[in-house]
Order: sequence, then structure tokens, then C-alpha cells
Amino acid sequence: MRANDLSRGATLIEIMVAVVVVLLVLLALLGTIAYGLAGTSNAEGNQRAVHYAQRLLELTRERDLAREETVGPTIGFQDPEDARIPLNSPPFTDDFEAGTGYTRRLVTRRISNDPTSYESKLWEIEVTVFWTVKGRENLFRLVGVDRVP
Amino acid sequence: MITALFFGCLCLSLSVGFLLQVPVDLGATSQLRHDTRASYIAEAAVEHTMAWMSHEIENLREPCTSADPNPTRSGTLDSWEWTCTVVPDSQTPPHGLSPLRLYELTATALLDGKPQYQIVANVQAGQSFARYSMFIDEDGFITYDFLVTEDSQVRGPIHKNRPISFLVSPSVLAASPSGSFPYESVISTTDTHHKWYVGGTLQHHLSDEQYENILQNGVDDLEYAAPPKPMPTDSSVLAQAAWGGPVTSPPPGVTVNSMGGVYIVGDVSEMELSVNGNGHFELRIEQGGSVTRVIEDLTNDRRLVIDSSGATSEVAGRGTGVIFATGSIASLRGVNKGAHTIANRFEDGKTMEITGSLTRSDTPVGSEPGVTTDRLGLVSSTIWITDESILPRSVSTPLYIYASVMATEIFEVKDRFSGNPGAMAIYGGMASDKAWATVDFNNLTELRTTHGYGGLSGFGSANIYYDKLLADEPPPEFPTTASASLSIRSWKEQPL
Repeated sequence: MRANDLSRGATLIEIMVAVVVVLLVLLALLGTIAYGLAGTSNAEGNQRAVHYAQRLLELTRERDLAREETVGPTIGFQDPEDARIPLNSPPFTDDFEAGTGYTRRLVTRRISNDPTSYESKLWEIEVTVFWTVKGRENLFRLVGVDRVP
Repeated sequence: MITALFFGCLCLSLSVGFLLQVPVDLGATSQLRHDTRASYIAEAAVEHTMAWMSHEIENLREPCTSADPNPTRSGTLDSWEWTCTVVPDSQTPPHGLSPLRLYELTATALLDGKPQYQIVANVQAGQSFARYSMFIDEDGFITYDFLVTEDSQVRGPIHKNRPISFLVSPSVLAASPSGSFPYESVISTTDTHHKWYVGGTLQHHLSDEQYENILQNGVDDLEYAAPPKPMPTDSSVLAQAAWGGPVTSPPPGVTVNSMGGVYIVGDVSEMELSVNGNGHFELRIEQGGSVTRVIEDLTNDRRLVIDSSGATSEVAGRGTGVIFATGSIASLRGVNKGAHTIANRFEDGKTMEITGSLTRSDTPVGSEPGVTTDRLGLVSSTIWITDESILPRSVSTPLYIYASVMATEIFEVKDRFSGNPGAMAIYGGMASDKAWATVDFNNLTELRTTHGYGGLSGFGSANIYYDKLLADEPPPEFPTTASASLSIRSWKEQPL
């Protein structure tokens, strides 16, 4: 009796149930993979943005851009207002590759215009790095300070 | 069916695992963004505080006072808050009076009042001039700041407050063994580049290869285009260290106070350093016909002062090691033991004359020091190497100077226009206002090599063997750059 039961083939219903289960699981797996890949890509995008922002801030300090290229008593070097220009736009032409897919906006300002204040020796550097994923703009903003030695 | 369920479970497990991983990645990225922002806020706190400290010191106010020994600064930046606490070290005001000051800064970045990131930085106010192999403040009457030849070398950090002029031997500069110099044109001087001369002709623009050659042969660590660093303008710090506090009515002659070093009123006709039979450092000071001997008996933590009459007095303590004279020192030579700085009132143009080698007891003569047991500093307006008639010169018997030397005017060989060429070796460093004058020039453009120290190959030499140990542990109270110039010595950061 037992031998007969074991040797019996699967019914059509059993096969269909099995196929449906496998399909559902595969679908869930594919969905998860797609979600995971998107998440990983997003994480990579963020990491690169953080890296670019840090590099821009450090280069600005290294080259004294805030102090050297002033456009007003309290305004140092800055990119055009509300613009998103490629990372390798001047003065960073040789510092970034073309076509990174990231853009920037860099603004520097003197913290105080009062020459008697110690804050007149401090410049605020604000770097924003932009990138777009599926038509949606992302940004990472970093603020640091540069000090006149 | 069972197989299907097995694979189904396997795939489900994988998908769940993968799904769980996504928030981890996203969380790590979010943390990276957060920590990066926080670290720059904490760094801004350090910069703010350093700017404030520099401002205070510049305006002759101590950042840390007895009323507020550990001031805390605070502020906001980009919706963050920050605080920074300043803690002076045990020798820094209000605890001590060292011109070389150290502070520990603890900066914290806060978001919604909660600490997020911390930086602990050690900051130094002022740097010892002993950290330079060669420091030159202004242009002198000598065309060249120093020579780079096969025989005369300067190793270690070099700084000048103006563009530097090299006189470079063609064989050092040229890449080819023939010594041919590839540059023919004479280019007008500018104030923004190094100038160098070959055969008295001004040249310009070094190729990378040639510059590398100079670096390898003469200058290990050229500090160029660094902010100007003014030299000290008065000797009051040294005088106070020698006296043991604010100087009040010093008597003529030699005074040794327990909290000070050796304070000498008037000119010194002869000063000799030696190590006596008991292994103690002995300082012999002659003023006119009067001789005073000061013996440092460190074993018994005392100093013995023996005056002209032979009377001995005992002074408790090791003292500061600073030997200060209000007048000039006409003769200085000998062997140093322990840490000493010999100085005089340089702001009044008082001079110092080296009449023999200045060596140290912990290092064989001619060897590079490997310890800092014995340290010597010399600080004066003009420091002379005496006439050849007093100090015979030859290329085979070098004059050794184991010291960090500072001449607020010039370091000069007295009879560099006559006599024989000699060899000189400074194991330490040299800081001077004007470029040192040790060789004979014709019309300030052509080097003559028959006299003085520092000629071309075969005609003598003047070498500076940089002593990094002296830079790290300078002679007592050796002058420092302005305290308002702050530099970071160590840096540690961590998320909280």
C-alpha cells in the first residue's frame, strides 16, 4: 500500500501549486534584487557625492580660493547663483574627470567683516554636490571653515 | 512538490537576506553623510577656537587665565552647534611661562543638543627657531643666501622670509657628469621665484630634475612660500629666565639665583665651557680681570659659584640653563654639558665672538649627535667667527659648532677677506637676519675661494648638519616664532 502511494505520480493540481509557489518566490526574489540594486546604486551615488564634496572643500582650502578670489568684502569665490555646473568647471578643471554625472555649487563667505574681530579671519565654505537618479535630483551639502593662518 | 518547496524556501531565504541587506547599506550611507558633516563642524570648532586664541595672543592677552583656566568656546554652523574647550599644558600660562605653549583643544559637534562627533587636537603656539637648519629673515649685503656645492651643504628645513638666492655649483646642478650647464639666458629677477647663480650670472627657473638635484645635494626640506615669520625683537624672555623672574636691580658682575640661570651684567671678555674632573659642567666667566666660575653639581641638585677671591657660595637647584649677559661676549669656546642657552642683549646690538670649537660632552667631535643630553643655544645680535690670528683656519681641521645659533643681525667670519680657507661644521641650525657672510665675494657677484669658510670644491667648506633632535627638544628658552602663529601638533577624531 505504501509502495503504491510513493510510486504514484503528482496530480496536475499539485504541479500547478508547485509552479505557482516557485513563480511567486522567484517574483519576490527578482523584486528584492531590483530593490537591492537600486538601494546599492543609491548608496554608491551618495558615497561618491560625499567624496566629491569633501574634495571640493579641501581644494578650496588648499588653494585659498575663499580669500584669493573675493568678489566683495564678505564674499569670496562662488559659483553662479542657483547654477549646477560640472565638477570640473574652473577653477577645478584638472581635478575632476569630465562626465561624472555630478554637478556642484560652491559658495564662500567671510564670517565677519569687522577687522577687529577674530572671525574676520574665518571663511565659511559651503559645497553642494548634485546628482540625478531616474529624473529625481539628489544633493549633498557640506559646510566647513577655512582660517587665515 | 517537495523539490519545489525546497527551492521556494531557498529563494525566499535569499530574498529576505538580500532585503535585510538593503537597509544596512542605506543606513551606512546615511551614517557616512552624517559623520562627514559632523566632522567638518567639529573641525570648524577647532578653527574658530584657534583663530580666537591667535587673536587673543596677538593682542597680548592670554587665552587661558587664572579666572578661566579652561575656556570653552561655542557657536553654530549650518544648523549644528559646536563647543570647544581649551586646556593649557603644565608649562603654559596660567600654569607656567614657557614661550613655547601647548594647548589641548576638545571640539564637539552637536545636533539637537546631542554630541555627535569629537576632535581632540594638540595645538602649539610659536615654534622654536631650532626647528630650522637655516632661517634667514631679510636680504643681506651678500648676493647669495647660501652655497650648494659638492663640499658645502645645508641639510634640513630652510626658511627665508623673502625669495631665496642659491649659488649653485654647476657640477651639482647639471644632470650630465660633464658639468655643462644647459641654461644660457639671463632672466630678470622677480620677487616670486628662487634665484640662482652660476659663475656669478643670474639664472632663472629650475627644471624639476635640477631642483631635485639641489634637494638631494643641499636642501632636504626647503620651506618656501611659507608665511613670513618675524624674528624676536628683544631678549626679555631670556633675561627673565636667567634671572629667575622679572629682572630687578641686578648688581654688576655675575648673579646666580636659585630659580634662574646665570645673569651677567656688563661685557664678558672670555666665556669658556668645560667639564671638570668630577664630570660637572663648569662655566668660566671673565670680566676684565675678574673671574667667576659656576659649577653645576646636578648630582646634589645645586650650583657652586666661585668668585675672583676664591670664595664659594652654593645655590640650590639646577637652574634654567640660561646664561645671559647684558653686554657683548668677546670670546666663547669650549665643551658643553647639559642644556644651556647663552644669550645677550641683542636688541642693543651686543655681539658674541666664537674663538674656538663649541663641542658637547655626549657626542664625539665630528659625529652627528644621537641624544639630547647636551644642548646648546647661542643668541646674539652679530655672531662672529674670530680672526685667523686667534683661531687658525685650515680645511683639514674644521671648526665645530654643536649648537642652535641665532644671530638677530648676521653670522659672520671676521677676516673672510684675508687668511686661509677653512672648514666649518655646524651640528644644529642657524637662524639669522641677514644671509651669513663667511666667504669673500668680488663686487658681490663673483665668489673668491681663497679665504673664509664655504668656498667651492677644495677650498674649504661650511656645512650645516641639521640636528632634528635639537629641533624637537630645543635649548632652554631658545627663541620661538610669534606665539600668535598656531600650529596643530596632533589630531584625533571620533564619532560619538
